[in-house]
Amino acid sequence: MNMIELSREEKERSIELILSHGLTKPKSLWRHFTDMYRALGFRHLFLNTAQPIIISVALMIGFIALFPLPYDQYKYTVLFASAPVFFIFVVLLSETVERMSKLYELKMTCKYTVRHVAAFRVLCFSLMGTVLCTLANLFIRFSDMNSFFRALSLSLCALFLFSFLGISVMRYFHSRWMHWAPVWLWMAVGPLPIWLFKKQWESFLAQVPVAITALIAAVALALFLRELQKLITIPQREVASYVGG
Amino acid sequence: MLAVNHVTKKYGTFTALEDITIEFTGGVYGLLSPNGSGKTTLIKMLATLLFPTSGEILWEGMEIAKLGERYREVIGYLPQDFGYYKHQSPRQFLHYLAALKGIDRSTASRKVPELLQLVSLGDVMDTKMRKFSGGMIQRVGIAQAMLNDPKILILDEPTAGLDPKERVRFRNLISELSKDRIVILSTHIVSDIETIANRVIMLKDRKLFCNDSPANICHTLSGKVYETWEIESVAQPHFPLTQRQEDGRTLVRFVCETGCPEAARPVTPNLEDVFLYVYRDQVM
Repeated sequence: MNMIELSREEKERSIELILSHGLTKPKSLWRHFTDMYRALGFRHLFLNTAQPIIISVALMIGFIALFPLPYDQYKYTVLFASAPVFFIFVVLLSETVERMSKLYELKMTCKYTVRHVAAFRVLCFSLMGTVLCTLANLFIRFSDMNSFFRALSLSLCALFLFSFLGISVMRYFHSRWMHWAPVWLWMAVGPLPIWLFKKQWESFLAQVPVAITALIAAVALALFLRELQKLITIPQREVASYVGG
Repeated sequence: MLAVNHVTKKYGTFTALEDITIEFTGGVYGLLSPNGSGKTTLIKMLATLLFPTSGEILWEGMEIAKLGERYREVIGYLPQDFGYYKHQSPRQFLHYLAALKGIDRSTASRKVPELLQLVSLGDVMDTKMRKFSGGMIQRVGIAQAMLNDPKILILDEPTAGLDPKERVRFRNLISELSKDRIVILSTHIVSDIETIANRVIMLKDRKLFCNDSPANICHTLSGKVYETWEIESVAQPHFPLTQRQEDGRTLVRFVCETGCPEAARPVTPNLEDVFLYVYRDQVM
């Protein structure tokens, strides 16, 4: 049988061609989000989220305003506990709005499902949470820049830790009510140390080096972004809904 | 081709569907069975809202769960309980869903009015949907399912709650849309699919009971369906199907497996006869 003998160079070119056609490079998180933004636009991505955002901002402000301990003595405690409030409630409320909508199933059969849109929103909500944390830190008025950065790094540390933990729990466990997990998590870890340790907790937060809290915040942010990437790329899982028929 | 291979679906210990094997090639497939027989479960698995406990569903030889968005791009789905935003007009709503389906804006701007014209909503495309009747909403539902020109159109109980006139209009619309695509239509209303389905799929006791043309399915009762004005005179064991009033008398249609009874005349069986007979233990 006559066989054409390929040169090494030709073989390599052929392999490259097959691989370039056969393998598609996975999209980065940024690419996913820019594609989605181009396709959907701001208005469609944030449809029906005005109420959850307003309610969550009000909850965060209310939490700080109604905090039962004097916040000139418990500045760091207040900031640490309040930092994730906006984020966890806005995620909970916007997810609840989606799940209660009769369009939920239909949206899950589209190219961009509820899960994809939620991932985009979660990222935006975390950015909004960062802005709110910064504003809260400015509102509290620290005497020096060092205290301000300590407080800011503590706030962001709490925000990104809860963001990461909340999204991880929602991704790993597929229960119908799992979108409530970040709230329970925050209630268990956020205000609990205050009631248990009171002044010691404030002293501890005031003494943790800024470098450590900033490092934890950065690591938590990286883990949070990795979780978002996974949330977008995992295979479609079953819609938690009652099935008749 | 869309292939359902030995699919079983369980919810905990409850088995909703067992060892279902069906091939969909083209045309209208009517999924006909009483409520609670697993139609919606099957439909939801085809729409990737549920996944089989065992078995596989393949589109062009690839498992639909693995195809992900590439499969979702070829399907159009109208759920049983179709939701919509009341404050939006059909045009706004369809633009929103077109964006979710990844259709670019210029294509959507052309396609949306076209589809709304097709479903006879052209003159109300900018009216808020809160003013719409059930039939109009279902037509919006069909229009959204057609946005991406799907190769597979999945309709779950699309005529539920429609009046007879809307139902006929809907049937004609489905018939029009069925060219060059697979249309899977689930219903428990026989007349919905009697005239438009190329094949009828019936489920019974969680399993596939039959998958055949309406003519062949009707043929299974050939020579066994009768009508009589005097049902009390029929001595043989029989199963009454329907009755209707004419001139103050009652004409009873029934199935008799043991030859033609006296005072009864044989009639050509229709799909409703088969449905009532097959599901005689379930139909109330």
